[in-house]
Amino acid sequence: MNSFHHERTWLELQDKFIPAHWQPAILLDLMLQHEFNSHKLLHGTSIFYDDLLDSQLCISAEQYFKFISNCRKLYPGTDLSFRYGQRLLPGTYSDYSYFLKHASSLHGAFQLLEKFGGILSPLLRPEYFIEQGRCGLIWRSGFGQTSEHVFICEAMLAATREFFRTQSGIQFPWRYELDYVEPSYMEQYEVNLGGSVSFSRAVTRMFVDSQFLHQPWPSGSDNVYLRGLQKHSSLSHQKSQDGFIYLVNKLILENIRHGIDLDWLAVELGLSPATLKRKLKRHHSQFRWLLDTARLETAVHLFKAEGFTNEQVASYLGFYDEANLRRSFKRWTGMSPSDFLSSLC
Amino acid sequence: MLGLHKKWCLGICVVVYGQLLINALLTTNKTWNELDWLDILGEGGTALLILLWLYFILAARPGGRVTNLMGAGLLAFFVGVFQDALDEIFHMGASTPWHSVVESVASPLGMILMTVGLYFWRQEQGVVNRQLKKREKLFRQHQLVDTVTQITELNYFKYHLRIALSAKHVKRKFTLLLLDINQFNRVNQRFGNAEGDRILHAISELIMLNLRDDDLLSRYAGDRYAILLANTIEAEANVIGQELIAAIEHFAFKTLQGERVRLAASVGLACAREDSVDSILMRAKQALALAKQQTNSSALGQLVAV
Repeated sequence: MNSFHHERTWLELQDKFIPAHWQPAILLDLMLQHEFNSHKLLHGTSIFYDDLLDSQLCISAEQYFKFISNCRKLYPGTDLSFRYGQRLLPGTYSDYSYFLKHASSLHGAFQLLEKFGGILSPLLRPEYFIEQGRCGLIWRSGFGQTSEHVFICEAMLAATREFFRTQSGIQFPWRYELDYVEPSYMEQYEVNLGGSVSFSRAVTRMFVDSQFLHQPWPSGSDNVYLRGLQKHSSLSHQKSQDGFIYLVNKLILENIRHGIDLDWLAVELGLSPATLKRKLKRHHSQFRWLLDTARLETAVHLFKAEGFTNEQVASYLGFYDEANLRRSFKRWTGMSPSDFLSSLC
Repeated sequence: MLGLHKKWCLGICVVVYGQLLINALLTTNKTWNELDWLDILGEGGTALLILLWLYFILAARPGGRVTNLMGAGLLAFFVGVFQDALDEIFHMGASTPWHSVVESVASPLGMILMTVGLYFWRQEQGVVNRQLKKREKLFRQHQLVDTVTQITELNYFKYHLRIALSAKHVKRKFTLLLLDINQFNRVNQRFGNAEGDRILHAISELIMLNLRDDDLLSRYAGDRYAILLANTIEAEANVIGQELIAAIEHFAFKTLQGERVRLAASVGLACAREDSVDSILMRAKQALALAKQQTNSSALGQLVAV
């Protein structure tokens, strides 16, 4: 286990770090275009319409969630998240958009999206992955599962799909795996996301075959995009952009082999166990639940990508024996490991 | 809508206030012991509800003859009921003969005006229905109208498709078209998403103009439309599909900046067989996917039937 500790920083639900005139303003514009009342849209968010136009104002994840929830309730259709997403990237978010527009391949775009995730997708952090001939983005919740989770996933998937497609001119055959149950409006996924979609998975992600990874894009400029990555490394000692749940999830995943518990996590974060519990509760989460999800994600990865046997996975995750793993799998997914894996196609 | 009816709002205030004032001046109050609260609640509540109806009518309708008749009818009806309610609070008797006149004349008068208003409203609705026919077909359910294009959304379409598929008339063939705008993301990219929404709205109007009275148009999702062609065999549907492609190709849409937008569409077509809603939609989708593939090589609109 890593014995070297430095002080960790993170963002919580009430921390104001999302520039209101960037992504939230796009949603507001979209709603105002349909003549919804701005007072109703901002009701209960403690944001004032006039302040939103002010380029100084930052809002918290909590305020953003509430605003999204208001919009969802007022908007009559099922396509709001997708329409909102299609307006998000590359966006006009100062340098960040500039660098993103010059990504010269999927590889470059994935890197930039991951590095600037706190800005380009503040509520749902993208994480670049390559495994077994596939590459793509894993989307991780920054501030816990809320009732807006599905909306935010739909928006960010639509945003990136639209961005990759227009920027490259390539029709990527995306495959999507989503960590929520199938909604009733599949036609929106069909038209707005394309590709194949499966629901109730361990983690939300989108991916294509690795052959597309380095295929050059016409609008790219290595020069500019590499400067973007450099800018990131000079920024990295500044304040963390990691949401509390994102950070907790990351720590759990990194240490999943070591039989971790709540007390360990509390020490790792420099909090008392009681404070940690309270913070998790405030983010609609529980340690047990986060640990189970991380174990499931790791188990699926080991089975699929690394070709582990039941026994190997059980020992990797610190289960007493194979039967214990099977029992846990049943609890997580309602299926045995082999049934769950075959349902993954 | 209520902003259009300033005169009506003022008039209603004057009537309610005036009626209350006249009664208060010309009669004497009942004492607390004389009040029958159940009657006050029942009759007063009825009067208030009529005012609420009046509000709904005015808030929902533009001005004009029908609105005025219904408004006047409800107002007169209100005066009658309200007068009836007031005799629970004020002493009415031989000294106030006007009380029973107002009570017995105003309500029937209101009913008559309301009836005439409803008669003309029915005529007006006939005209509106003819305009809406292709958009809504059998019934009206305002939750099912799409926000961007103002045509019905897919759930309504599926409902209708289910009815059409379960109809017993074997001879009644119908055909399902799926129409998709080619490379619409480029349009959004070039002209902006707000302009893209305007285009989708305009295209839905354009398609509507090219359809027959019995056909139903609906927004599938994004830049895709679903069209139900009633009593249509494949050959006829082919012609209509080609007409739609040609119409969209020749459509000279202008952005707010005055730029001409060039558009092309692909169509997938499926004739009804022994089908379920999902299976016929699936066949139309396959046809559309094929049409889109061919489009990529020729840049012109394509139509494929399955």
